[in-house]
Amino acid sequence: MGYTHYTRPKSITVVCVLGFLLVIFGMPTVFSPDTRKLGDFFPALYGALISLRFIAYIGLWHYKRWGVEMLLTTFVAQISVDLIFTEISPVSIVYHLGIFIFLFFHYRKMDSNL
Amino acid sequence: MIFLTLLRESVVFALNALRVNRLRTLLSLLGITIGIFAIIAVFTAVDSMERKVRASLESLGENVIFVQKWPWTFGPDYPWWKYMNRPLPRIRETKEIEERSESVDAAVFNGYIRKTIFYNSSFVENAQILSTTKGYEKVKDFDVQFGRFFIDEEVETGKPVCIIGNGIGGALFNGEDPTGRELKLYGQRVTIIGQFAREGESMFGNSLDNMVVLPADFTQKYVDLETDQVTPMIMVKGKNGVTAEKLTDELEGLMRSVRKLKPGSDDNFSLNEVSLLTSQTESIFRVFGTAGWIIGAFSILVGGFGIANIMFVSVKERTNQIGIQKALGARNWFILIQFLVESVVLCIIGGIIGLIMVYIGTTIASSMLDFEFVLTSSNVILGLTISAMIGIISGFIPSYSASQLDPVEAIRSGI
Repeated sequence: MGYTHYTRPKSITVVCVLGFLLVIFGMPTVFSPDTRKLGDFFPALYGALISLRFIAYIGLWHYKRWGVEMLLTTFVAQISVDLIFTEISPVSIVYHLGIFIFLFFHYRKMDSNL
Repeated sequence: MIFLTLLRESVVFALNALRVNRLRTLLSLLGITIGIFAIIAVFTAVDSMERKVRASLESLGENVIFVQKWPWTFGPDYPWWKYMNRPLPRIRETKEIEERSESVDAAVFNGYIRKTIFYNSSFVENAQILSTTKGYEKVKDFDVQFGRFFIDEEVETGKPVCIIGNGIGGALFNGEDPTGRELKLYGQRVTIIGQFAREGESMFGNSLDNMVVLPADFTQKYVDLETDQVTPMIMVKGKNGVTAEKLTDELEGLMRSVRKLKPGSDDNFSLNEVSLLTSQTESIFRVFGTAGWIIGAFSILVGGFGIANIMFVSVKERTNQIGIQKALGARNWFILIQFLVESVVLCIIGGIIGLIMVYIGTTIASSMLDFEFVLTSSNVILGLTISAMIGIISGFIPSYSASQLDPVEAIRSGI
């Protein structure tokens, strides 16, 4: 049984680095006073989304399809939560849509295994 | 079913790691423990203080506006010399407000004096004497433990009757029913007709516990109630359905008319609202909360690195075991979940230890400081959330690397 070697393009590396930075800067929002005001379980929900996004970027770093799928799932979940509880940031939507369009072209070339 | 088995095995692995390498694992957990302790302790302290301030603010009265000489809040350009020359609120103005306003439910004049009160050979030094007019029960919420509150006739005729606070009652009568007994004030015998139920300390010094409430018409026979020394104020409560904004607007016009102020001239009174203080305290606590989570975030970050390190060590130590598991058919996700759950369990254990430390700390502090610190359920959930989140984030990379190991190479590298 032979193994296919997948090489991560530099553009994906840039997306991942930006993603990791966003996750790091997004972490304090989990326990910020504004988030806590929204409800007792909101920090837990937000924490889960940030953790999953971090995992998604790791997947992307390894050029895995599940990374893109997980990133898309967390994005949809985040938008839904934002719609219910807080204001939606148009900049974030535009940024993520741009990323997803970019990732769409890479998706077929990515590794489908875990 | 397989997931539950996997979960149980991973928890056992985590506890085993704790047991086998007790010191090493505990030292790694210490980062998370200290981080959770720091962040939750700050949040608990801030929440407790905020609750206390809110309770004190609520005790000032809901939908009540205070007509006073001085404002409660002010900006950088504070013309204190103008406020200094303002006239003081008067009893006559209180009556005019009540008669002329459509939105006012009750307007009450209050004046505060400090005085020593006597009962036989017992006395209470520096007790706060509140002189009030008709309708105090409408502008302030309170419970009466013994006896009753004033009836309108007693207040209007200035009868020598009073209601004492719970603290005064405890000091003079050891908690017994004081109604019918007589205090000595201004050389007069004043009959106690009631005692307030205990209110507890207020941050604004307006607790009824150490007050003696008298009809203003009685007090003003002996003291001038319209001087700066008694900090006179008019408390105005709006009718049901009248917003604070509408009440303020009407009161402003009324007070200008009562004081015959010319159009264009500045107000010579302040209309103070509890909401002004609420918004100010909220911004102060927001700063404390932000400082708390910045300190906590750094501690958590350090703790996360500790957990990532211990998980890499754990993977390295069990490489051979991973190889055997994979050779026997374990899937990549099985190995991944196994280590990830172990990391999360370790972090949650660290977080729980941190929360227990906060609980012990709050219990000790509450008993020593006469201030109730409460570890709320929302803070417990937050502490556990942060622990689990750090467990996932710091444990994922070691777990993922374990799941990607080649079974043959993993078995070969056996320790």
